[in-house]
Amino acid sequence: MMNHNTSQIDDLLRKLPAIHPGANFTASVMNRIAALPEKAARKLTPWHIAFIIAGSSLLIGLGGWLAHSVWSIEFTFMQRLGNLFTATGASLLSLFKEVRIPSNILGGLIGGIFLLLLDAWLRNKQRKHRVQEAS
Amino acid sequence: MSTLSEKETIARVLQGEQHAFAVIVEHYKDKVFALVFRMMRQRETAEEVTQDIFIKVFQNLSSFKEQSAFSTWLYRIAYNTAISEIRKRKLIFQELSEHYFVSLKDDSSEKEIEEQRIGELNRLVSALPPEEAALITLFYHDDKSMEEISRITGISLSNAKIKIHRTRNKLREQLKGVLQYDEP
Repeated sequence: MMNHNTSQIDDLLRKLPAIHPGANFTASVMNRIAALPEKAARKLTPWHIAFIIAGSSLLIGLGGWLAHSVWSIEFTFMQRLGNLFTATGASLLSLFKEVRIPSNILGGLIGGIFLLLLDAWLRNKQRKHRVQEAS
Repeated sequence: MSTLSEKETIARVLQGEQHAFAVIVEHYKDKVFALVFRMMRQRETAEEVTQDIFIKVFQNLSSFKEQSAFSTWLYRIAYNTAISEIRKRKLIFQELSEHYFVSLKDDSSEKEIEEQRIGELNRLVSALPPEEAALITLFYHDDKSMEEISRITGISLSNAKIKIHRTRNKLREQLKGVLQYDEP
């Protein structure tokens, strides 16, 4: 019987036949690279829009919940709509920077949260002022 | 390709000389394709995935920070892409379960016997599960060190050593079982 010791199998494994891709492989890759869209001309795809809407809705919900539960603020429909535009605007603005999509969304979220909190803080201040004036 | 010329080529690509990337593709295509093919087993799929890998490398070249060798970074992308494509395409791999024997004639020359052994071993390696096939290819075909293999595959160093050792022993036993001499 044959004897396959460890070094023999190592030797055989090193002699396994080489595998090559097709003859036009490099040309195919380079053609695909040439056909890639320019990075600067990033288009607003449905995915971007979906992310913006999702991020904005999340912000509205979070901001509304924070304002309501922490500062007992009731938001009117028009105020909520205003917040939606602010958050969407922040997300849209950050999208045009030369950064990756996750960073854009994160930028939009942080910007939106900041605006919502500022909005809630100002309204709370106004409310307290009105209460003080009334008393 | 020397490390210096590799760095120069990468710098040229990053400066906008797109065609310089062909040098990188030409240099690594065989090794990357061999790894992907061994993992996926299907030639056409492997070729398509290997092309995707090089495009991914081109698109992310600016994120290569030289914390590791360029080849390690490239192989890591190749390995991860192949693994995720296998999952995405739901490719099912079956190891060789049937027992078959290949007879070696006594009058075969030493060269003929070795060729037959290599041929059968090639068949056995082709039937390995993707991870084992990748480890064996990286270690024996691409001469990667255990540390590099660990970085490429994300498997811990000790685990990579154990897995390669076990796979090698498994192949040795399978080969022993497959090849038999003809009784005179």
